[in-house]
Amino acid sequence: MEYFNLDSGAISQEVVVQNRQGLHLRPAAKIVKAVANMNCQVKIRKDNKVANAKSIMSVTTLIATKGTVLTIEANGPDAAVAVAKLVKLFDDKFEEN
Amino acid sequence: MTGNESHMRIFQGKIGSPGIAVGLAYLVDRGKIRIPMRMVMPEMVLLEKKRFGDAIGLSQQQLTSAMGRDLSEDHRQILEAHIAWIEDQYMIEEVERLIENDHINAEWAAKKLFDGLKATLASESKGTRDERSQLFDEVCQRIMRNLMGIQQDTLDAVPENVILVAHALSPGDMAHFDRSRIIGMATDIGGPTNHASILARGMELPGVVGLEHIASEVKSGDLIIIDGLEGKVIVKPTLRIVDQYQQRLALFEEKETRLLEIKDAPALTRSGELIKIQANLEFIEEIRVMRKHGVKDIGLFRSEFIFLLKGGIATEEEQYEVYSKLLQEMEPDCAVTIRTLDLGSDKLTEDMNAPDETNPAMGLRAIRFCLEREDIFKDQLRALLRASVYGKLRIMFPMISSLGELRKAKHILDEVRQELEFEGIDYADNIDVGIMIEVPSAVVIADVLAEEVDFFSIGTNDLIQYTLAVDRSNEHVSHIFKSTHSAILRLIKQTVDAASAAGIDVSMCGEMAGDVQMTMLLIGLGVRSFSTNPAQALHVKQLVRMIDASDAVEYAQKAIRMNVCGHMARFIKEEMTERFPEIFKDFAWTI
Repeated sequence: MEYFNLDSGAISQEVVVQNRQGLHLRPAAKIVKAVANMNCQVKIRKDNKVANAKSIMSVTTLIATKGTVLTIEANGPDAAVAVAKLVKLFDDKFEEN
Repeated sequence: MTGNESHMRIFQGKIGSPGIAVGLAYLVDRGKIRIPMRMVMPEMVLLEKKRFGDAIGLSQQQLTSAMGRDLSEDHRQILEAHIAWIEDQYMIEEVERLIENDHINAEWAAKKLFDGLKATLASESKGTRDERSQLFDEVCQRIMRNLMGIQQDTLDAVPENVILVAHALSPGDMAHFDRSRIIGMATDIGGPTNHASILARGMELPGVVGLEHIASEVKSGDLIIIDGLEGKVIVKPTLRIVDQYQQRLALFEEKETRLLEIKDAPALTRSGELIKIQANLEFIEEIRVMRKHGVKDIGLFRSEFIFLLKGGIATEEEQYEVYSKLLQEMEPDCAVTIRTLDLGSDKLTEDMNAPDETNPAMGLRAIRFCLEREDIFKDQLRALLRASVYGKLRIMFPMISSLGELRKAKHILDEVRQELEFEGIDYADNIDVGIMIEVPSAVVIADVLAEEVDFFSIGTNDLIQYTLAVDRSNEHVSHIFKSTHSAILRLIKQTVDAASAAGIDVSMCGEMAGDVQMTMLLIGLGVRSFSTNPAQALHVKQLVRMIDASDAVEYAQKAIRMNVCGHMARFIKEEMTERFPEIFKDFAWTI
């Protein structure tokens, strides 16, 4: 995975996985769906592992269980919107029900 | 004839979903594709990539067309996850990279990628069974099949009117189901509480599970019969058997159609009493069936199935999810009566530290277990109270045998209320609290108990078992288990009388409540509310609408004086056949 500079226009924010299942099948699909068409790169970092938020394969294999602290990083014109969208998904616990 | 006969085989399994189906088998041959693995020449790499791209495109088409159907939320989410995988550029690039760098064909490359992903998952999720690895398999298999030009049998494109036969059907498979094309299902593994069975019941799809090796014994195109009433499958039946089943099926369907005509009619007796008919539910998926049969209230939700499905103690959150969803699904003012955990030590899983009991029916179960394990009980009550804001919840304690027990249970409920208040968590303040009447001692002190609860619900199965001291599953004594014992009817009458004297609600939720052989007798004894399996509700309603209440009282008075079960049974049969021949002529009596 390539890294990108957190220069101007890049945003990062920490989130905690709060939903019971963790970044499971459906939450992962929701993440990808939320940012798929955004004009920016979006990454989710767990310790030294980085997942591309536009790839379900990448997000699913990040293995983030409930309580895990993650950092969302976005770079590009839509970065702010993308981060806000993802933060909301995490905060809403992916509307698991 | 003899030629046919020698081929007929009967497989005994478990009832997954009741009903009958006669039709051709469609074998869902999962996990048995042999994946061709070969090296490719450098000049063929481009072609392999193109093959892979085409398979992805085809997969996309299949999934998108499956999305167009009317799907449940759960199914839709599973499909969306499949689509997200198929459209994942990184997955595609990774496979292309493997084709190019390792000089292998597309099938091999895809297999390599997915095997690697599964290994990552397995090492990091510490061996716990995972929905994700199942999804990997399904996505990978779809790609393989499309690569190899094998027709998808992911149920998107099955022929019409077939019976699915499979080793196992996953929730993912079920998501692809086009219910209108499939008339039945049979699987090697699974029991009544596995996901496929539950979904099948929700779709009213006749199914038999736990058949062990049906998938290897049946070929697509074989004529088979699903007997979801007796839990068996007949492969290559003789013409005579087919005839029999087709008649049974036609009769079954004709009755159903006729019954559905009164789905929205009120359950009014001929003499004008309104009888309440509610449903007994075990799974949220059954709400659809309940609605189809015109039932609006849940008279008994067996909460232990959340635990049984999980195979362990369900957390507060897990329970809250189910309860709140249940309540949200109801129409306004329609009640959901949830019975607290009614697990016996016989059903406890390892992680509940089951004590060894020689007589579990009389042991540490239901409310006794809950009072012993206050932690589990409180989690459940918290989940119930939190969910109560979404509708009309009624809480019911099972197996109450003394006033002390009831008070203890209510005391714990009060404690939980206070805890929630302290935490600032909302709950409804009008929750009715009631008890199951299923232990004879509770009937004897019904007048006392009635003073401290909002409702009674008579559980006839246990009431009979405890009153007559008969274990119904013990074949040596099961013939003594009789609803026509006058002691049982007297106990029911006593309970109903105590409830009406105290002005509280009384309902019946045991098997007897759905047994039309007993309906008129029960109405004669004063029962005005029944909670039955969704499929039985209309049968009861149909009969209720023919009954005259004063006639029922007279009839019940006569019946209850028959002190020999056999006499009472004969009396019931004669009277019912005479009064309602359209229902009871050629009836399969079980009393």
